[in-house]
Amino acid sequence: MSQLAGFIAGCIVLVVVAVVFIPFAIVWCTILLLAGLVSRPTDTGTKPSDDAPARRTDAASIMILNWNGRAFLEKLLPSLRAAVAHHGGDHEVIVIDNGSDDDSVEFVELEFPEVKLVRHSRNHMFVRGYNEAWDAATKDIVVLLNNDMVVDEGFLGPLLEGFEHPDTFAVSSQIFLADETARRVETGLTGGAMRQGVLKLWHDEVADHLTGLIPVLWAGGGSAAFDRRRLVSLGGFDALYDPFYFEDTGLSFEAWKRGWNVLFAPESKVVHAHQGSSNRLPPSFVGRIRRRNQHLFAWRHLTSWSHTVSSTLLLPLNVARLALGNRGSSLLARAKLEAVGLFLTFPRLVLTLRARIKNARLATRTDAEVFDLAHSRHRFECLTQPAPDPEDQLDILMLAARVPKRGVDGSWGLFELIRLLGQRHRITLCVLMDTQDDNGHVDILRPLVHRLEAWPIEREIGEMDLHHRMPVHLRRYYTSPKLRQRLAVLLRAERFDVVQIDYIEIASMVRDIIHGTRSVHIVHEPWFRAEQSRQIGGLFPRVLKQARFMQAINYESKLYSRFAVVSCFTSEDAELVARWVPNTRVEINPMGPNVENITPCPPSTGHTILSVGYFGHAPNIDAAIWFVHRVLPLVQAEVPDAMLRFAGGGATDAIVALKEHPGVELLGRVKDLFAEMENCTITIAPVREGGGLRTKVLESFAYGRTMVVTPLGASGIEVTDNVECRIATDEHAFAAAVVELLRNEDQRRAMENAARELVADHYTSEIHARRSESLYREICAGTSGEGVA
Amino acid sequence: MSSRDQQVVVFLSAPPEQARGELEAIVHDHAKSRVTVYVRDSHRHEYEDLLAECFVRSDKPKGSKRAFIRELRGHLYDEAIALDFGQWSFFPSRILFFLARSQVKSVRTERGVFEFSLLKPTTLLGHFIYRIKHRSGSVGGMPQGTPFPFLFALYRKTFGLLFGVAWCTLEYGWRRVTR
Repeated sequence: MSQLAGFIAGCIVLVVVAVVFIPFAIVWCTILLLAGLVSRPTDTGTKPSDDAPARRTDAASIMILNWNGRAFLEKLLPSLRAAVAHHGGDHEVIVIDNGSDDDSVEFVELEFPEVKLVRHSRNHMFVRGYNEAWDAATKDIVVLLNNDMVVDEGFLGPLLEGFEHPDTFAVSSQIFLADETARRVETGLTGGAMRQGVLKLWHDEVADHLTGLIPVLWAGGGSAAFDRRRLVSLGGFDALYDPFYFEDTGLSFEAWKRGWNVLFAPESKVVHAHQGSSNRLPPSFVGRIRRRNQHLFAWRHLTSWSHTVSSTLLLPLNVARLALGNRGSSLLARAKLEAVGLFLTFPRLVLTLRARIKNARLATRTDAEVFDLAHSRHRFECLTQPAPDPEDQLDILMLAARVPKRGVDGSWGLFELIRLLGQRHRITLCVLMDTQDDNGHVDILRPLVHRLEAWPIEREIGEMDLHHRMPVHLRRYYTSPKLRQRLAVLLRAERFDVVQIDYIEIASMVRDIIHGTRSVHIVHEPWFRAEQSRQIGGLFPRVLKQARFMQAINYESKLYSRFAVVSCFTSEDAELVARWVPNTRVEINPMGPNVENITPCPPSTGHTILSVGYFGHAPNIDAAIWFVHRVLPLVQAEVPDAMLRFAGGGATDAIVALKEHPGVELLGRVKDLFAEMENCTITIAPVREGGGLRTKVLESFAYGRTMVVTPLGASGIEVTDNVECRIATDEHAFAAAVVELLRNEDQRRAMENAARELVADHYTSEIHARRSESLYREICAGTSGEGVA
Repeated sequence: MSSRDQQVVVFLSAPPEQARGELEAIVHDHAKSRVTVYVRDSHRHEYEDLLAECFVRSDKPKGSKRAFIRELRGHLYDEAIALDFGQWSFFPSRILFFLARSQVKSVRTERGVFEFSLLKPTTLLGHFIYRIKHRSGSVGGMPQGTPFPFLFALYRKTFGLLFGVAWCTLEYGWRRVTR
């Protein structure tokens, strides 16, 4: 009962708070928006690159704020002494004592006489504690350490090396927790985003092999190095956040906006006891200050219109959302915390407004640019570092929504590309695994690439999509927050020259983190084209089809515009994409089989027709049903012993039912396609739906088999009717062509030779790989290329 | 009435990893009763050994839904048992539990067993409040952790759909004009 009463009381508090804050939210939003009009960036603002000071990177002032932390200092100072000796630079260590009652001061004076002491008369907490001690630092770089840290012997080197770039403002260390069994709630690889008006901050996991410098949203005030002059020019930690929390986030964000960079050095390592000092304060006090500063941060630093509106107008709703969403104490206690946290912002609103106006004028980056740069090493390096030498070996990240397989389904084109490029470049391949079978295929891929990440697909809905903007298949299966987080960490932390994304499913998952990078999206089949070509009867299904087509067009147009280049397999697809996404570079690069590894079959005999494909794919199902019901009877009327065999997995019930038809045989997934090709007379591709390149056509040609195809089936391949294959549109023409080829051996023979020659000359995996390579080099070099007009 | 005449119906409204242990306990506790189990077809193999002595029914209607419900309500059970570990994807099985005719209805949760009865509103409400917070998986097609997921799901399927179609049409029209 008490739980129920607490819940009801909490709900009442939340409703009252929400109602009370509605007028405040409207008025405050209006004020901030008006302030935005008078605080636009001006050309006279101090640009960071203009006044970048020459600074020494071999010396640092290492500052430690201490309050009753003798026990912590006993561990930190010896480790620091060892680290300073290890680095060998001209460093100074400064302990700022915040009016400790214990014998911290005496301990430092006695045991560490080389340490400089700054003594405050009382506990000024974090912000004032540091702000009143900057003058004690004499070096160009200050390293701030919490007193409950223990540093690694080599932690200084990587930290200071980050300052060799003139635009660096801060470099953060990698943080490990003293309790190794605890979840790593902080790592130093920081990130954040505005989600429905609330600022979310987090630490990403750090992979063991990470090296170099990685952009981060903020450098923690307890384990990072800062450019002292720039720090002082920003006024140190903002007094708005006094006594603690968000002061380091605010400082770093301000630096980002001024055009400086905040980085993370994974090789600089420290161990943290975590909240060693703040644990000694009442949790409710800490919680309220944290919430107050979270609101103040959004209003103080986020100056875009969308952030301003969401962080103010959604405030009443968000107070309720945060109280309901958090766990731990009772709802009443959480509601009180949210309400008090919000009330505590009131005395600081004027200060917030002044700081916002002042700093917005000096900003050289927008909110969106800051969030973009701070969350992708690839994007950061694209903008800040010179392009890689075109002759060098490239670091390529390939993301694929399914595991590329050799000779099993249409993904062999990607498999061949990986095989060939893997011999010349360093490929990091990341694939999503759908079934247990994929494990075996992953093992085949592993030796072909530099590194392989194979993640199981998580069927978890991660997007609300209240207005049905996203195709349902993508929303249902490819919005898992965990997977997106893993992809985000991969893209934010590692170094790549170029990123290739295969299949719309994974392109959709990285859409928010990929723009502004050297990225190529390989469109295997535009969805809108597949939706448009769907063979459907009836009024309601047609209306639904049109709605899906419009949804696909809208979604894909926006999605494609995020990539530097969109590459299609066929000219038809490329022209369509270029028409709908006019500002994006679109290329044509058809894939091809590994002709050297495919032995041509001996000349065909008999009256056997072969259809190859994955029969769980809608266009293939439609094609099979159409052929068996509409074409095969016409063929068998002329050639009674004509047999039709389907080779390929994924057969649906509709496909299985086809075997009841006389002369139809289902082979399922075949291990040796050569044997089936050898035993057939011709192959067919009666596709009427979809887009992309029909790999089965190229495969058949490579094996030396001619075929009958629909114009859609031959799309993207420069074939001539009656030379390499027969092209037929309706069932009568299709049946006539099949009959003619089954009967006329000489014609068939000539076409088989021509087909094989066409593939060998124009559609091999080697040609595909060379074109891809050339495209990557163009992108890296920053040349625009011609693209599709 | 002999104990063998006791009729118990179990709705396996939780994933196999949690439901298996519960089913084991139920079968053990009702060794002399006639136990009917409603189970997902795709999960049946997970309980193969436990179901040998039970009457097994699919929780998915084959054919008419009305006939399925009529058949379910055709039996008067002594006890109906449902499982609730916060996975809302098993909601349809729990609806069957509500519809089943039974003298006693009990729900097994991670916090123990409680009796379901409209005469005990505080127990029900208390569990409902607890479940709002402690659930796993998505509810109504909303991302995990969405507050008031049913409201959002309802909006998405009604006004959201209408607004979405209208917006999509306008956006498409604009693209056609400007391409």
